[in-house]
Amino acid sequence: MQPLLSPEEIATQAPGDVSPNRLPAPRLFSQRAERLRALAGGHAMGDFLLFCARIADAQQQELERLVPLAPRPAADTLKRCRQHGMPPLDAQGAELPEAWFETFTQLVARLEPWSPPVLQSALMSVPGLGRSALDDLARGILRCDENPDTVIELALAPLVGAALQVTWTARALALAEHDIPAGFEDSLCPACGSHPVASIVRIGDAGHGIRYATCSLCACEWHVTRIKCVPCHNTKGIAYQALEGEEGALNPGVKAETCPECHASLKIVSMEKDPFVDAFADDLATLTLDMLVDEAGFHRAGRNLFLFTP
Amino acid sequence: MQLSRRQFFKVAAGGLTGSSLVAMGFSPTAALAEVRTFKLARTTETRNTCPYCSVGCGIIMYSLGDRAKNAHAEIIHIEGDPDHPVNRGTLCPKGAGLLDFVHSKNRLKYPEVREPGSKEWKRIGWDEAFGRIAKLMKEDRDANFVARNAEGVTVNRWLTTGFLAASASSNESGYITHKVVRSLGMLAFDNQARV
Repeated sequence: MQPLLSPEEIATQAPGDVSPNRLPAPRLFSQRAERLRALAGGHAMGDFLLFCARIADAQQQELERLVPLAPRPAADTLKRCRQHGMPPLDAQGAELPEAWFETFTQLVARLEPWSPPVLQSALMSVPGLGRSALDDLARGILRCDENPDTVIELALAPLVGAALQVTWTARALALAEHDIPAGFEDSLCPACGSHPVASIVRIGDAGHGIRYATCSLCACEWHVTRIKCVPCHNTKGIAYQALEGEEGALNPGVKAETCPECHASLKIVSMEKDPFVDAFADDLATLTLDMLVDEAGFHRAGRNLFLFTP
Repeated sequence: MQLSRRQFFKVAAGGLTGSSLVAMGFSPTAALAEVRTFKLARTTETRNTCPYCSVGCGIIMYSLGDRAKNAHAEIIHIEGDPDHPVNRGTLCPKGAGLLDFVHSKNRLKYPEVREPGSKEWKRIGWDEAFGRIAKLMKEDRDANFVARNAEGVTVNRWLTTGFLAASASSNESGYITHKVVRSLGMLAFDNQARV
């Protein structure tokens, strides 16, 4: 006769729980650069996407410099954050790390030769702007209330955003998956409290068909149940809008998830449709979808630090 | 954040509107011209429970079409719900074939009867079906109901008729089914799709 299994035996034989949170990939930015280059071919904004790929390359180099230096939060801080569901790398309330400016300077130096003339002249004025103006811009971006005073600041904002992304991704890589609060399924990142750029339906070790929201700042991912509005948690009347041209579907892996309750639209990219999708890169390559969805009455909920529209 | 064609277009000299993309020196003209050549294709995804057996696997049904505009809606794909705790996205071969079940030409849409000795299924109305079922059940129950067993103990059994209910029923319809069937004394009663 088959022996009865004890609860412990059942637990050890069961498939392990898929973690609700995912840390960024160590080669995140170079993978993103590769994806941006692939998307740029034949794209109406190919030059912009190629420049974004250059930014991502520079971000990867900077990430590799920062990862060994990134501090890990104290054990009791991590424990307290886990207990109360608070983000351990809080971006909105905490101090701006002093080192962000060095990262920004490095990115500017690397990108200067590849920049279009208008951006180059904006980069020339960086020393004249002064540290405190740039710190203010960076704090504004972290708190999602950036308010660039001039066209120059507006042009620099994506590079400030890029520097903040590297800083936070390096800090996130110093964490372990279980350090990040789990089980809240919130609309903000459980690691840093920032808004998502989009969400991604994953395949492979993350669980087939499981959806994760992708953080716009630290690139951590957190599980959100499918067919659910990420900003407001509504599950009724959710629809998916895709781009359709005369020759059929464009970017088949990208859809906008629209909610009739809060009228938000957040993109959802699917690895089932295209295994190479990157939430951040595919978002930048499908701004046409945002414009059409905007005309259909839904506002864009995704935040992309390479694109600001004050 | 708002992202409209107008905002995207350019940085005005006075009040700061537009996008960082234009402020960096990239031209959105080609992208904006292209917008007109695209339209939105709307699909929906709906959670449900597989109707086959009492395991109760979660499924997601993908549909085309805009219900609000009264257009033709059609289920185009069905797969396991990856968030469902029972099946975690998987389906058995029967569940994986649900789309064909939905679109099957042989789906039963009205009551039919095949009378004893007949080879043919005959379409009947709902009232006729209910009347016929009730009449046959009563006849059989009157003839075969066992009020007491051989020892004289009251048992109130009805063993000659069985009842097949639905495995994907809700708790509430399961409760009602149980009350109706058991109060008649019927013992053979099955909710599992093993047939």
